[in-house]
Amino acid sequence: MKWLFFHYDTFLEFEQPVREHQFVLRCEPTTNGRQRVVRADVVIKPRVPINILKDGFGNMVQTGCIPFEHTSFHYSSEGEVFVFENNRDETLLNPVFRYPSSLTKASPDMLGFFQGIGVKKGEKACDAAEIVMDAVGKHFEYIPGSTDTSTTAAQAFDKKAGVCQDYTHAFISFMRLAGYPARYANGLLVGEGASHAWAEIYEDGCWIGFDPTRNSQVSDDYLRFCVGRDFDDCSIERGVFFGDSGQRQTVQIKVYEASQVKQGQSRSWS
Amino acid sequence: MDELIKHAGQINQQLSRYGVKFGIYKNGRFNERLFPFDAISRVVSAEEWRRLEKGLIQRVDALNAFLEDIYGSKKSIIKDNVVPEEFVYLASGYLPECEGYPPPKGIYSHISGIDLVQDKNGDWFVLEDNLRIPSGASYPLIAREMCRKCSPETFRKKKIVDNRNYGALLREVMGFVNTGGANVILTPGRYNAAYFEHSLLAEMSQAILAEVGDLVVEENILYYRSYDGKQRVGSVYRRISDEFIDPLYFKRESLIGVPNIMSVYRSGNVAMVNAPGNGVADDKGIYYFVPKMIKYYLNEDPILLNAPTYLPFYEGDRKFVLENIENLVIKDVAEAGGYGVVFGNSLPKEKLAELKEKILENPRRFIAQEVIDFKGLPLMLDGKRVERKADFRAYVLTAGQTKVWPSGLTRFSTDPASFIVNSSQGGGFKDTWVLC
Repeated sequence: MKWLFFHYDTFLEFEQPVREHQFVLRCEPTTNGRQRVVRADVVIKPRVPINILKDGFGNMVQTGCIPFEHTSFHYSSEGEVFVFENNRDETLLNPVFRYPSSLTKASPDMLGFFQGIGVKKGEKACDAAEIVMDAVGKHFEYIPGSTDTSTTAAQAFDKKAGVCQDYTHAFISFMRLAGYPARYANGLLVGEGASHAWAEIYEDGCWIGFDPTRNSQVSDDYLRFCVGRDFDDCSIERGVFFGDSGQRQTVQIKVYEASQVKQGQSRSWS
Repeated sequence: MDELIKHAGQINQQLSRYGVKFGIYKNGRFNERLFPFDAISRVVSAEEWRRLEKGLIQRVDALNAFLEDIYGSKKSIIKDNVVPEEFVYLASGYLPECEGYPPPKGIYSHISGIDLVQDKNGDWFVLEDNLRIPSGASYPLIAREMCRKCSPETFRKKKIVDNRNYGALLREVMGFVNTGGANVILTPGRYNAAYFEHSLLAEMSQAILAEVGDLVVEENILYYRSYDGKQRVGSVYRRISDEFIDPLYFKRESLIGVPNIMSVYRSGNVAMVNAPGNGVADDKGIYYFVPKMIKYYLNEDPILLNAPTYLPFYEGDRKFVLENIENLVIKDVAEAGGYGVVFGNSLPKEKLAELKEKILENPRRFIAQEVIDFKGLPLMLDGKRVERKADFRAYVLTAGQTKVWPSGLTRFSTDPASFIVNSSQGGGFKDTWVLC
């Protein structure tokens, strides 16, 4: 088990003032079988009231509206979470995770590829996941910027390139083809400067994390923000506003073990 | 009735002045055309109506129970193997965004439009359930009004149940689930094909007619904004489909939605009429299971029958469908509004083989139905009395109790060979008289 401190910051800057800015954030971890939240705070600027609710997948959602004109939007999520080593989240299964979603629908090429990777009928979900993860890792090359947030599993598969989102989509796609429930997870990873995506598969009443990008099971270095069918359900931020403006986004992330704090690491963000 | 037929021209003129129109997309182009009215009404006897009414209430109550079960944590109808899982989760109308939140008073389908036909023996069959935003109630409403003006004696002498209570029923439905605030009807705007209906229903139910810019979410509350300031909305009868209702939850590019309305809804701060996610229950594939739902949830025998339906998903049915395809109607479950409906006997050999292959490839995507030789109704066409196929849409409203509006929309096809009477496919409509 690890005691993780995290600090997630996003700065959005608009070239022209915008107003009536409605937003939905999914950046607050929840307590579940794999992690326990000790403390979590979401703060936004400009300061407006925030409403907290749960979405259809059980994720914590923060919503709000900045009615007046503004040229920047800053939201931060900060806190402490115990992450357990067991990598198991026990919940009831929503069977929707067995079926393709818009971003994870397999193409005929993917179907052909899948038949070649040798997942046997009746295989344990975890064993199948290892085989699929291996195949995905061999097929893909990690190239930042080669895809974007709207890239589907099939498009990334054709390119044979992508980032964690694409590895995860392809993995989920193959696992669902094989008949195993699989879902998308979004969160933070110790040592990573960007948010990270991985997958979870369902076996014996538990969700078990697999990281296809790193070809490994998920450890207690992974702090989960939200889950869904694919990236579309897990956007950390979704917003609409009035105004004709370009925008620039900067993200700052720190995740580290509590023991490192005791060793005297400065809380540089404060 | 003869009196009305004499006045049919005038009535149609009046209707066109009121803007009783229907918009059709054909070959990618939007055309608006008048929805022709035929003066010979469909007449339903009191006894026949009582039976229909009972059957419709039973059906809608079961469909509401199904939605509550599917979006709740139990999902018992799946666990008990009454409805196979894939029919629920592959239905395009199933929205996981609606999981785990029971709407006010547990009602999902407040306004249901059930489409039926009557066969030559007089038996009624349900062809389709519409639980999202069934339209069309305004047509018989306005037509009756015109008829009453042209020939008041007809309605004085004949014992016809007054249908002017639709506005009151709608008001009751919106009020029953209202979470505190105004009743609002949300329209995509005056270029929408059904704008006439939206404005008429708002007037009749004394609700505010709002366009998208009029509604705004602040601090997780929905407000109606006008020049006089803003007021809280407690119930919104939205005539915008699920995928466009909130760009923060569904289609990102939607400009006709209200951002964050789903957050307000999921927090219990506004009622949505009808609830989002209802499309899972009126899916063409789920239709097959509705009689089983009635048995499962209500422990009653279904009063109204489905048209005999086969699911190629089941091996036995698949064999039957492939062997008898010439005598069946094949429907693609992904399509709506009379599109994707193919009559096996109308296809040339190659097309038939193609269709069979498609069914084998993806059996879940199709349902097959026996062609019901349904009763034609008389109508006047170019001054002559002819018979054409007609169907009937009943409007079922659920507040504290489920009630059926004693009227409805009878649609007919002007093409003598066609069985498709959906207004998106052309055709006209009639008033429906329920006798006292």
